[in-house]
Amino acid sequence: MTPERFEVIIRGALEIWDIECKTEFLDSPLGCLLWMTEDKVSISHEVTSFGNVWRIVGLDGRERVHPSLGSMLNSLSRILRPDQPNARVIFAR
Amino acid sequence: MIERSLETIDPVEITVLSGFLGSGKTTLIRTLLERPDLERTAVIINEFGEIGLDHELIESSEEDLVELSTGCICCVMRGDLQEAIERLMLRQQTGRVFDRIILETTGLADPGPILHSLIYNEYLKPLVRLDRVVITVDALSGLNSIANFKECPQQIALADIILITKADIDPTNVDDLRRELRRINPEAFIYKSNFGMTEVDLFSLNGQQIEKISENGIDEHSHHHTHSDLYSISFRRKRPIKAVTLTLFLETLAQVLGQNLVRLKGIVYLEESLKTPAVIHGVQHVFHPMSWMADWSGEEPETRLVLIGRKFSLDWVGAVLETIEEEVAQTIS
Repeated sequence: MTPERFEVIIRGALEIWDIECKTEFLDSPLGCLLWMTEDKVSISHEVTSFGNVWRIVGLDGRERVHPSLGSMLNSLSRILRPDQPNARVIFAR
Repeated sequence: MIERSLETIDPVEITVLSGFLGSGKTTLIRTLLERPDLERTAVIINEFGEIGLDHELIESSEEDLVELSTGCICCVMRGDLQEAIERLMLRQQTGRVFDRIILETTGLADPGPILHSLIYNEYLKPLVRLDRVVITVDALSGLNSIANFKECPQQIALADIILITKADIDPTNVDDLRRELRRINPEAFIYKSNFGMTEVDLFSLNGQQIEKISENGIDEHSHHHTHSDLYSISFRRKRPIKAVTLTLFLETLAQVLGQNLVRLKGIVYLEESLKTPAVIHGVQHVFHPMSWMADWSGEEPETRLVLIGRKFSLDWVGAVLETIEEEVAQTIS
């Protein structure tokens, strides 16, 4: 994961979800802060010996740890858009 | 619910015909039903409003015409649609045989939920097989409809075949309209149709041709903006993709994009099946069962995807795929 790709993913998700906030991206450790008026959401990514770790600290101050991009985005969506249920893909058989 | 068993009936191909208000759907059906080779065609007409009128304009055997007039199929009529199809299919058991159904939607319908029902509804799946989606667009007012009514580009995005109607009345806008249609849906076949007479026989294109992504539609990593808020992006990837990566990628797109993903269609170069291209086809968050082409027909193997929707960028889609690929590789290693 490069800082450039991390930024593309986070900025892209915010645009898709119509979230307007001030963003602050950090290269080391790889992460960003999303400033929602007074409060902030932080997101970070690291590769550990046991795989990828995505961490989100939400507006409530609670830390969520995720092993994949998909689950991190799912969690981030629930924090930033609590009234918008996430879509679920359906594979017809 | 009709209780007679339909288990013994073979599925019938169903063509969904949609298009904005006044774009020539009924004229097209009238002309199609005059063809001797389409004699064994049943028609389901959906009309929006209390009084159905369109069915009065179609001369056909009443036996093979079902009118739904209590609302728009895509909003409230899916139960009625199921019953209408069941009623038609029961006629197969009583000697009235047909081998094709045309389902005409209202001009204000979003065909997405209708396609979901036809693809995913457990009861309908054994009865009908979605064959193709045909959309009519009026040459006179098409550009205006695209710019001002969200239903119109939504319909265009879901088309396999787009018919430009009324071009004989005023051909001035046809080139601009064709470019706009191509931007919204780069892989659809686009033809002209005058008084229901189409440039090319709508049913001469076989399923394989419709599944195949048109070469014209795929630029190298392209992103097309249109007058509506819908646009298409397309990309190619020469490196094969693992099946698990593809599944996670599609799940992530559907989950994050929600209604902003209108359609995804493409050929995938799968690591587990290097010699046979996989065809994927999704309408919003519902994906058809994957199908397979026989081979690459002499073309260099590569993944080619077209996504139609709103608010996402080619860079974002590529970044998501690359990240999931990395995560899968790390998990396997």
